[in-house]
Amino acid sequence: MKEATKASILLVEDEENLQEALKLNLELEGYEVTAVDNGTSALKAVKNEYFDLIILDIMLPEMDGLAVCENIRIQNNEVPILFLSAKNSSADRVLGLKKGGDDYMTKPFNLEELLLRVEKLIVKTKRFRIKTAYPMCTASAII
Amino acid sequence: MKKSSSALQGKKVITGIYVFVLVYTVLQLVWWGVLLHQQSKEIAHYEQMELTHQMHQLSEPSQFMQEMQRLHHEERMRTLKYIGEGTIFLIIILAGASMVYRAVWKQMRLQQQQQNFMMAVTHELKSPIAIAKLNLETLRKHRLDEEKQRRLLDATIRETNRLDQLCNNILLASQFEHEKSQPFLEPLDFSQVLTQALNELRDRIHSHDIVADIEPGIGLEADKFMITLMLNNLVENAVKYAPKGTEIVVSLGLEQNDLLMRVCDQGEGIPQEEKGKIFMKFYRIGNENTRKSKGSGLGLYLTRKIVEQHGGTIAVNDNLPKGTCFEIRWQDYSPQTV
Repeated sequence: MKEATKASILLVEDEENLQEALKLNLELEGYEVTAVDNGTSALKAVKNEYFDLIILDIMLPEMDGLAVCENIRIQNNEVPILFLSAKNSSADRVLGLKKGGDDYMTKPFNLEELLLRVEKLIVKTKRFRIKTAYPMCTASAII
Repeated sequence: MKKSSSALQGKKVITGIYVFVLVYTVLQLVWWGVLLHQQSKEIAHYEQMELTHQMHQLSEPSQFMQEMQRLHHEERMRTLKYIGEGTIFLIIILAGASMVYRAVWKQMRLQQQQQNFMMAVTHELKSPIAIAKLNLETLRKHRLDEEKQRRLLDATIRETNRLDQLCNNILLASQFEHEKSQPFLEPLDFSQVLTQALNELRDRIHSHDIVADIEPGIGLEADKFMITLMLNNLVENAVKYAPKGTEIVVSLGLEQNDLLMRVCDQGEGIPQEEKGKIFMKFYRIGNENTRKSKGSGLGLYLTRKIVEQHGGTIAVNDNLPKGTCFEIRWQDYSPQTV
C-alpha cells in the first residue's frame, strides 16, 4: 500500500468528462476525491474541509484558478496545489508557481506522470508536517 | 485577469500619449496663429508710421487716405490668409488624428480578439485531446467493468466529435477570410436535413432537451454541409449558455411570405449592448480565463456568413419569458420542389 492511501484530494476541473476520468483514476489509486467545477465552489470546499492536495485547473468559470490559489494562500493554507492547465507557455507556468502553486502540469498529460507527481506532493507535505510537529522523530518511521 | 488589466493599462498609456500629441499639435497651431497675428499688427503699425513720415511728400490728403485704406486692406487680407490657412491645417490635423485613432483602436481590438481566440482555441483543442488520451490510458491501465468502459469510450467519441467540429469551424473561417468558400448549392429537403441533423445532435447532447418543430416538405437550394454546420453551431451555442435540463426549441416554418427558422433557448439571454457584436469573428462575451462557457468565438460568425451565403438574414431576439432566440429569415420565399 502506498503512503498516500486515503489522502484526500480536491479536484477543480470544469470539463465534465475530464473531471470524471480523473476522479475515477485517483479513486482507483486509493485517494478520496472531492470534485468541483468552478473557483467559488473550490474556495467553499477548502474552507469547510481538509485536503492533502488540490488539483486546480486555471480556466474556470466565475473565478480563475490563479485567483483561487491566491485566495487559499492569503488564508495561510499551505495545502499543496498542482496546477493542471491547457495553458502551456513558460510565462503561464511561472505565473502559476508565483501565485503559490507547488507544481504545474499541462494538458494533455501523461497519466502515470500525474499520479506520481500527486503521490510525491502528498508524501512530501505529510513528511514535512510530521517533521515540524515531531522534530525528534524520523518522519518515515511515523508514516 | 492580469493579462486583461495589463492590456487595459496599455490602452490607457497609448490614449494618454495620443491625447498629449494631439493637444500639443493644436496648441502649436494656435500659437503659430497668435504669432502671425502679432507680426501682422506690427507690419501694419510700421507701414502706417512710414506713411505718416512720408506725409509731407504726398501732394494731396486724399492720397494719404487712399494709402491708409490700402494698408488696412492688406492687413485684413493677411489676417484672412492666416486664419484660412490655420483653419485648413486644424481640419487636416483633426481629420488625420481621427483616422489614426480609429485605425489604432481597430488594430488593438483585433489584437485582443486574436489573443482571446488563441486562448480559447488552446483550451478547445487541448481539452478534448487531454480527455481522449486520459480515457484511453485509463482503459489500458485498469481492468474496468463494462459500464465504466462504455462511459469512457462514449466520452472519447464525444470529444473527438467536438474536435472535428472545431476543425471544421477553423477551416471554414479561414476559407471565408480568403473568400475561397463557395457553397455547393443543390435542391434540398430542408426539413429533412434539419430533422436528421437534430437527431444526430440528440444522440450526442444529453444535457438539454432538444425539441424539433419542423414543418415537413420545405425545400431550399442550399449546401447540406454548411446548413448542418449552421444548425450545429446554433444548437451548441444554446447548450453552452442555457442551464442543463432546459429546452432548446428548433423550429422551421412559413410566416406570411417568408421562410423562418428559429433556435430558442432558456438561458440568461444576451445583453442589449452585446447583441450587435456576437456575430463578429472571435468575439466572445466576458474574460477568457473566467467565462462560464467555452468556445472559439467562431460559431456565430460562421453562422452569419453561411446564412448570408444562402441569401438569408440572421437576427438575435429575446426569448420570452427567458432566453435567446436566433431567427434566420429568407424573405419572399417561393416554395421549392425537392
